[in-house]
This record gives sequence, structure tokens and C-alpha cells, in this order.
Amino acid sequence: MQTYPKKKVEIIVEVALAKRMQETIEALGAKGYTVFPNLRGKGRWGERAKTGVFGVFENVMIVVITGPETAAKILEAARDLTREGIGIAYVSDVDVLRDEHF
Amino acid sequence: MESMLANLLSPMILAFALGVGAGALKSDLEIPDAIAKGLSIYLMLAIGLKGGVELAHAPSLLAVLPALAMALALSFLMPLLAFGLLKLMTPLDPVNRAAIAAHYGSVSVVTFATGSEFLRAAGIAYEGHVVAMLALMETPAIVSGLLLARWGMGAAQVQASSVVRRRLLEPDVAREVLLNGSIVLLVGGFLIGWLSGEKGMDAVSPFFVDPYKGVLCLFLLDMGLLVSRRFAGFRQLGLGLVAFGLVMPPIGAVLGLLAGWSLGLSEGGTTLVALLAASASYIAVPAAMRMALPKADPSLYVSISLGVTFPFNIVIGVPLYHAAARWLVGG
Repeated sequence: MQTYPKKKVEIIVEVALAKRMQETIEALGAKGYTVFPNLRGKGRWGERAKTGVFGVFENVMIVVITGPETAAKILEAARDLTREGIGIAYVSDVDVLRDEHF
Repeated sequence: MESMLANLLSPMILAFALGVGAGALKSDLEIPDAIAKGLSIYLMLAIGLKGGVELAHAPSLLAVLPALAMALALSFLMPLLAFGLLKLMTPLDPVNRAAIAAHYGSVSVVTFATGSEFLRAAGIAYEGHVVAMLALMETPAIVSGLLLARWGMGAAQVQASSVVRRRLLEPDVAREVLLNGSIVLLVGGFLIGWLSGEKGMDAVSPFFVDPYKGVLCLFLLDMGLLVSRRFAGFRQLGLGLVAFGLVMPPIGAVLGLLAGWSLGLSEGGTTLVALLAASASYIAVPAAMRMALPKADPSLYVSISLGVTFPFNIVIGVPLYHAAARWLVGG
């Protein structure tokens, strides 16, 4: 079966900055993304978890699968955002079945 | 003072204490998020409605304008005071100080709800347009905080930031700030109450008036749980910041008392304006601060406003400011 190499960028980011990141991802030309909500964890900024009616302690994860150039630009945007706000970003290699879909 | 004791023994404060106790003892008691959100929607709308209906009784809209202007001024200027006080009392950097200061210019609707119930139980009336002041005081503090942050950061740092460099109010921050759920419900409820008047209120009072105190109890129970769980402890915040959280409310209250007195408000109205000035937001402002000042640490501003100022205001502040208002404005 034929598969095509792509890059998967995963960005775990605080919910307050998620919308901005999503808009940037679309603006940079990615064909789509998926958001995992209500993430919990711990890191440099202390414990993170959805807390009552606050939006400020919750993280989400945005997953984008796209070509290498777009992935690089998305990573750069994520780096800028997470330099000040709460989040991490990383990239890995994946193989997909439909080249034109991503 | 007996009024302080009466306040401590009210179901609302006791529910709050129950929440704090349950959280502290590591009970797994949980008010589901959706229910907490529903209670919050109910409270906002009920407060807005009541305020609007009261205003329908008022002589004229023009008489209310000075109060509204005062509300905007208080909200915009108090962060400046808080910013300076934080510099004296804590070693925090300008961005954190600005973010915290913004909270103290804004208001806590639940604190207001608790205070207005205290007055109602004592049979003390208050002017309806105080609710309009509440709605107006939510937002200017945020703008003030952002300006303070920019000023405190200095030009070089502002340029280096990829977030702060942009316009003062990005569209998403502006939308959060002006159109967030609480504001829409408060202002909307206010308009509905004002337009539908007494008759309209009678129609919905079995829902919006009778269960109100009970809903407030449940909400405060949830707040108590939140305070004892989220609020990690004094040590983490630092003594200076905790002291600020206890000192700023009375200072704000004094400004509020003077404002109420200069506006010629009643004893009840003056108490509530003092309470508005003394309270700190912990729902609308934190979200705006995350978007606009990501470098500011949310565990600082949420903990101080929720863990220190909120309990202080509802347990000690309400009866205290009322006594002061009674002394200042007379019975």
C-alpha cells in the first residue's frame, strides 16, 4: 500500500491562546487540525487542569498533519506564542494514506 | 458586632464554609461544571433583572449618569492605585503587578450578590442603578491593567513580545472583554427588567426571586470548594501579596464609600458601591489577562483574588462596609 510522508505537529497550549494558534495554523495553509480539549498536567507553570468556571488553568492539544514547509512555519509560530504563554510544541514524522488530503 | 455574627451565621456564608471545609478535608464532593455554570447564569440574569426593575422606578435616566461615570472612573483608576501598592508591598515585576491590579479595579458579581442579600435580609433597600454600575465596572480595569503593563514593561520589552506588541486590544481580547457571558447576562437582564417593569418581574418572580438565596448558597458552596482546593497556600504567594489581598479591599471600600456619598446614594447603595470597589474579579479578568498578558502568572492573580480577597469581603467586608456606610450616609 502506498503511503506518503508528512509531518505531524502537536501543540499543547493553554486555552486562552488556542484560538489564536488555530487561526495562525489555518492562515499558514494547513488543510485542517484537531483539538483535544480538557487536558490535565503539570509543568513549569504548576498544575494545569480544567478548574470550575475558570478558563485559565486548562490546556488543549492541537494536532496538525501537513507538509514539511508548512510544519516548519507552524512550529515557528508556536515557538513565538509559547515563549510567553503556556505551552509546548513538537514535531514528528508520520505516514498518511492520502497525499492530497494534508 | 451583631451584624457580623448574623452574617457569619447566614446560610450563604455557612455554605461557603462548608465548601472550604469539605475541600480542606479532601472530600470528593464535586459540583459538576455544567451545574456551576448554570448557577452562574441564573445569578447574573437575576441580578440584572432586579436592577433593571428597580431602575424602572427611578425618576429619570439622566439622574443616573453621574453614577455611571463614577463607576467607569473607579474601575479605570483603581488599578493604578493597586499597581503602586503592589510595588511597595511585593517584589513582583510590572507585568504581574499590572495583571493583579486589573483584577482589583474590576468586580466580583458573586461578592455583590452576597452583599445585596445581606442588605435584603436586613430590610435595607438600594438603588437599581447600582447594578448598572456593576456591569460598567467589569471592563475599564482591564484596559487600565494593559496600559500599566505596557508602561511598566518599557518600549524595548514591548517590541520584543510577540503578544503585547500588537494593538492594545486585539479583537479576541476585546470580544472577551466586552461581550463575555457575564456582561451579556447582566446588561441584558438589566434591559429586560427595565423594559418589562414590575409586571414582568411578577411573572418571573417564582423562578428568579424565590429560589435566589438557595442558588446563591449552592454557588458559594462551590466557591468554597474551589478556594480550598485551588488555593495552594499562603507561602506560595508570599506574605507581601497576601497582605495586599487583605489591605486593598478596605482601601477600595473607602473609595467606594466616598463615591456613594458624593453621589448621594442611600445607605444600601453606598454599601454596595463600597463592596464593588473592594471586590476583585476572578472569572472575567483572569481570562482576559491570559490572552493579553500571558507572561503574568495566573496562579498569582487567581489565588489572591479568589483565595484571599473574596473570603475576606464576604465574611468581614460586607458587614464592615455596611457599618461604615451607615455611619457616613446615615439611616
